[in-house]
Amino acid sequence: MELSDDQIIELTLAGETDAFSLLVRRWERPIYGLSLRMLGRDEDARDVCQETFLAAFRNLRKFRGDAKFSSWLYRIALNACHSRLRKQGAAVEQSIDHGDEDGRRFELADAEAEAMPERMQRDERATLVRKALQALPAEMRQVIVMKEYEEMTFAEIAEVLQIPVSTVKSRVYTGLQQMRARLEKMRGAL
Amino acid sequence: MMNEKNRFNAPNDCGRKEDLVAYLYDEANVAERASFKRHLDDCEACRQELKAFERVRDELSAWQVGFAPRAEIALQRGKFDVLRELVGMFPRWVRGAALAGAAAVMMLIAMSIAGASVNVRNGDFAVNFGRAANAETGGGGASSEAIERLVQTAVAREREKIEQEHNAQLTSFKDQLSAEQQAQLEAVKAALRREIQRANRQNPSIRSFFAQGDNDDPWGDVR
Repeated sequence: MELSDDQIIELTLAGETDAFSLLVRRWERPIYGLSLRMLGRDEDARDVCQETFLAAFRNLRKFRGDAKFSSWLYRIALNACHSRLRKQGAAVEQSIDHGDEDGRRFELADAEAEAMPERMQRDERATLVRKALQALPAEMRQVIVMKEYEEMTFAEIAEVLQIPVSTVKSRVYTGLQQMRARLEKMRGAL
Repeated sequence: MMNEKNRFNAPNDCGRKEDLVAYLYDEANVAERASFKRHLDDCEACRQELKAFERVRDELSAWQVGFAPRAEIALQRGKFDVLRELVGMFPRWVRGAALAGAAAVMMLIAMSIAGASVNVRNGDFAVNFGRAANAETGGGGASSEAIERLVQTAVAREREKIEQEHNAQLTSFKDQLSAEQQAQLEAVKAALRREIQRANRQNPSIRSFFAQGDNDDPWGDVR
């Protein structure tokens, strides 16, 4: 029987620190995905992933269990992402708007697969989406990422961000509108 | 027909933006869903927007993360846990030896803090406490040689005093022993005198034989 997050936390707090690695294995992929889509760089996403789990481990006693562990973890990761975005500042926006891909390229699969036309087309779409998403204000981007890629409900997103559900819906709506406009603009420029 | 600019920025003034996204992501309950479906029949802007958002969602699905690197997290354990685990790895005798070693080190550290030094010279053993010696000399920065001399003088004085006491006791014992020996000697003399007198009474001729040419009575005054 698979242990629940809360059971693993109890074991960890009881001194079985190795149990925490189960939580890492369970949540590393979503946290990495969230970080990558928020920051756009694999290297940054890896760093945020590590920072998130270390911070969670160090502060595990502060986790009161009135929210889901995953919500708490997402909140830590998003805070780390925002911290990095603030440091990157205007350079990020400039890089996206001018199509500068240096250091911001999504890591593609092996070169052999890239040679395939279907793969190239998909990668091209992915690149456009990535650019359009990165151009969104962070508060829109995070709700779109959580909704589209993490498949979280509006209520779950509201719990992570500690905002009303109606605000989440409103941000998703505005985010989709801006994505639509930007994607149309990019496709027209191709 | 709307031009492109108007199509992108067409305001959705019907006030059902939240209902639209709930419908789009299939999070509306049955009643809400039915209600919004009826609204779509009458609202061209919402119909257009819904289709556009579905296309955006389709575009968004193109960016998939094919892998996730394993997060290498070095978890920090409690210091006590680490120490307990580390100690448990060693056999008992090693733990005992380590404990004794640790105690010795602690003692040396304590002695070091107290400014003590240990001297082993000519088979003699001495522990000097620097701070105590300094205190005795008023803490005026006396050298370690001066302190050592002071201690040695004090030890020598004490040793001389003990030796004198021992000598006095020895003399007393000797005197006591001499008195006892003298008493025993006198007792033996008395016994011998009595034996001679008894023998003289039994055989006077022997006495007269020894009395010739010697006036002293060797038997009568044995000393």
